[in-house]
Amino acid sequence: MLAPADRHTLLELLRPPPGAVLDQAVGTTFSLNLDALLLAPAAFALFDVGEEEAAELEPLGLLDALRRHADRITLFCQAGQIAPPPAHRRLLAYLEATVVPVAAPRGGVFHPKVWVLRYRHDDGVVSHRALVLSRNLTYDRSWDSALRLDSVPLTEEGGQALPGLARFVRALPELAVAELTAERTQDVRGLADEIEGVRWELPDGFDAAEFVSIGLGDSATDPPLPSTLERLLVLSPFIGAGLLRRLAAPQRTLVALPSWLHHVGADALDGWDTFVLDDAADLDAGDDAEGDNLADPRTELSGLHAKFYLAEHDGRSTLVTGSANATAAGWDSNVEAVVRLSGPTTTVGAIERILDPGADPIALGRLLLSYIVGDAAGDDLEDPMAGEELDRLRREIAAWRWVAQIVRSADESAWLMQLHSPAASPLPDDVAMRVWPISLPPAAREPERDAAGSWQASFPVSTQGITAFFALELRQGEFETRGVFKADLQGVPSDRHQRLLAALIGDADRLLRYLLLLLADASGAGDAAAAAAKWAAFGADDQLIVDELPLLEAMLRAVSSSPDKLAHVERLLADLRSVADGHFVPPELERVWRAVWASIDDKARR
Amino acid sequence: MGSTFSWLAYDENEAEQLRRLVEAFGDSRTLDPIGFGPIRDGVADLLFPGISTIQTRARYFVLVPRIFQALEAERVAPDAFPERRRQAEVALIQALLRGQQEAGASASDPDWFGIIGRNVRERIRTTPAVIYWNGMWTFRIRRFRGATAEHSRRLVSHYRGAPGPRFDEDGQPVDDGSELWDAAVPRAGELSDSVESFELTAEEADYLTERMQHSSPGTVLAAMLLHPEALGDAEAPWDIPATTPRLGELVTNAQYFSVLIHGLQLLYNRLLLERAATELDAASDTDRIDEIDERLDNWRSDVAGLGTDAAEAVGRFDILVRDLRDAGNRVPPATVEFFRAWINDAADDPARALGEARHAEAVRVRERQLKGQLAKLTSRPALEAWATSGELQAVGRLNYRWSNAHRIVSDIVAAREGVS
Repeated sequence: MLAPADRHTLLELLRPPPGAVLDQAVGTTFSLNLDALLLAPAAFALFDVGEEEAAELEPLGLLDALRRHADRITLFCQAGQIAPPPAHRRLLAYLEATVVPVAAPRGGVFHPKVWVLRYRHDDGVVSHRALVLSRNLTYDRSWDSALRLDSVPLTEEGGQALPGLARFVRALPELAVAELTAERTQDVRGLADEIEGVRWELPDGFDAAEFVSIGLGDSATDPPLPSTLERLLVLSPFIGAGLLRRLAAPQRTLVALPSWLHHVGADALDGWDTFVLDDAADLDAGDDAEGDNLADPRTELSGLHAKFYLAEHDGRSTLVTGSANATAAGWDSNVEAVVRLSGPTTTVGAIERILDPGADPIALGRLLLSYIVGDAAGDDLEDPMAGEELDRLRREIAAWRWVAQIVRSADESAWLMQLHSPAASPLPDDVAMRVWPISLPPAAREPERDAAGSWQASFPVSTQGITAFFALELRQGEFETRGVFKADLQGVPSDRHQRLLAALIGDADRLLRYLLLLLADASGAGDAAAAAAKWAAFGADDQLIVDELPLLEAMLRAVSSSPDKLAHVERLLADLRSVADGHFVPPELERVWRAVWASIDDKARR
Repeated sequence: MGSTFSWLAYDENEAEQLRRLVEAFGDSRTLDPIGFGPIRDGVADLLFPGISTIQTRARYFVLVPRIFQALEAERVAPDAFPERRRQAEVALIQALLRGQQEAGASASDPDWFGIIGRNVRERIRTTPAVIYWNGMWTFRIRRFRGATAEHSRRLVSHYRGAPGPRFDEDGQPVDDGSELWDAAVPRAGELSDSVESFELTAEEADYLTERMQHSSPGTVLAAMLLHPEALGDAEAPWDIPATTPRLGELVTNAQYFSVLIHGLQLLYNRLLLERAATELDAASDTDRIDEIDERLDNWRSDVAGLGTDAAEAVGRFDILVRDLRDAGNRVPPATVEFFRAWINDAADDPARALGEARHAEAVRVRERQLKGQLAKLTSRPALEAWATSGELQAVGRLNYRWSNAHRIVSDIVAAREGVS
């Protein structure tokens, strides 16, 4: 178990089984990187035809995936834990409704990293997958764990129900800091209802499982381990003295971050064998092929972030893995999600063996370095609690019901976004705050506070600059922190998405490629760029010349093979026609299209 | 795969691919906002013929023909050739990657960056054969004219044997009609499909030196190969001793253009930063403004260092444009007018030129003409799209593919020195 070479990327874990497509996804994360958020829709697009090998995705493919699938993905994340992107991504406009900021009911943070996925197969059958991870939806490259559970087909025996997982998913919409649309709530609940009846296949070596969520109305709890243990191994980057004391066993091993070992101190670690992860460990397995990718600098992992508890008792092993650190917050005030798996120690793998640095093939023990707090100097390590207060305040402010009212503006910018917080929004006197839309650079001024205690600021933007995501910056003494919150957008111009689409496609060349992508047969998606070159060429004055014949052919093929695609094309062209920015649609294309569209009957037009 | 409990991997390639996709919709980067492209590229072709910005290492000039020759020796059928060639190029990527891994190269190593297709691997589209295709013709390593498709057409007669010589427009024999590659390409052993490196053999280095000097005499490229001792301290084409008076003039004219136009590049960025602060009501990016002002100070002393005046500078620019047009380059009159007006004032008094409103206006108009809706100085959405990252745009001084040429010549020279 957990041999260093045993790894899967998130994209691999999201990948549909052969012959299936991803149909719906509900995910949770504590912190969120908005670029990484595009990973899920990219997984839709890359594997849309259920290929084993991912197609090379081109930008327009991603745009199409976003347009078609954004409403099938819902991601719950802790309010105030979205990182400001390095540059504005106009594509994010499609994902505004996908992101649902939430807060933990008991005052801690919303911390689970879970995905529940629904796949639709060629033959109409539906299957499910659950991922219980220790990594947030960010581009972290730490050592994180990933539990993947696939559903057992209805026609087959075996597997294990996880009623806790359905309860967890069902509870998510209620945690949102702003109300979800009825539709989205219904979608999430629908998925929860569906997985109620699902039996899940367990990983090799385990014969029982339970999904345990923490902090959703339940009272404080301990890691769900048997009461008497013979041996215990805990991996947790962050640790708390109180919780460590509650984990009793004759033989206890702890792997944590050095700064946190110092933070809890030698007394709290009494009775534990303590280790840290050694990033420089030589993982070269010699000549065997398995060790190959470990030496690749592009895929190296660094730093500990996995959280799991492995206990041995009466010949059995119990593994608890997921989001919960060995801290009081992890088990008392946060919302967390873990899975408890158990099985015979002989099949799960003995702790002794996992920790053996000389094991062959290489085991986890090769990565560990004994670390005794009493001996090591910890003075140069950062205080892990520094800035904690300001982070908490940022999450609080991000959970306010901010509203951005969009009104017409007289100047070239076209729109004015008037942002305001609820009345009586408290802010400590020694904290300075700035807010601005992520489509603009940091604001020059701080927001103003009106008589009712509401914070207010206005931002002129173009249509493409309209966004529900706002950056928030707090400064207090030496500390500064930034995050992104989502405001409730009101008065959104009705043609916002059409104008954005026109701007993103941008010119006739890209439009032709996009059409080809839409019309291509599943089998011949191939090289859209090369095929688009057959349709059109640039004349002497960089004037695009569209060849009507091949274009007509592609459209006529689609008339017989997949008329639904034509409706998709008509919607796209209608969107572009409706806005002035869409003027690049070549007249030849319109002419051909009108003839094709007129030739098909009303039934296909829907 | 089924249910599993494992580590969660991280793959930079995956992350980078996604970032590229997202950035494709950014429109925020401009490589050439004021349109010096036609002049820059034309001059680069005169100074460094056969060298392009996407070439990485010299050894591809012998590895690519070797792939073709190996498949030709197998008599691979013309219609199967392109796919077989692609497979061989993918095998080359793998062999180079293995070679770098064995040498313990890290991801920041130039040897690692030099591997074309290191991220996409078997999904590569723009292969080394495509990237080095024109250069191989310039140096006459490739002996037939035309695109890669022409190769497949020529295979038939090549397999059949020589059908008689071919002639160019002037009636001079070009080849015997069947020869596809220069007979002297070093065939050092078998193509390695296990491990490969960028290190040239002495024979390969001598061969490339001879080809480049013979095909492109009187260029900076040839001069660099002749004066390898000047490479170490050289930072631009004009630091290499000119081998002919004509080359000396051309290089000096190119240097004048590079130095004088640099002020215009910086002015563009200054205008951009100012407009972002006023138009977007944003906090002034004082760090970047300070950086631009410091660069402008340096620029004024660079211009003073030329010790020139308006008449000489404009004269040199006009000769440069004439040389470019003589070489068959299209340099639009509007481009010439725009740069000539700036060069005239900047050579005279750089500080005054920067302060004159009509130059700022000329920059705005020019960007608008070149970029339309994507012009950051005049279009609000384009300004917004740029401003959140706020990166300076094209602030480096023009050096006409110097760094590419330097890398490639250094590869060759290093291997030659190895034996001497």
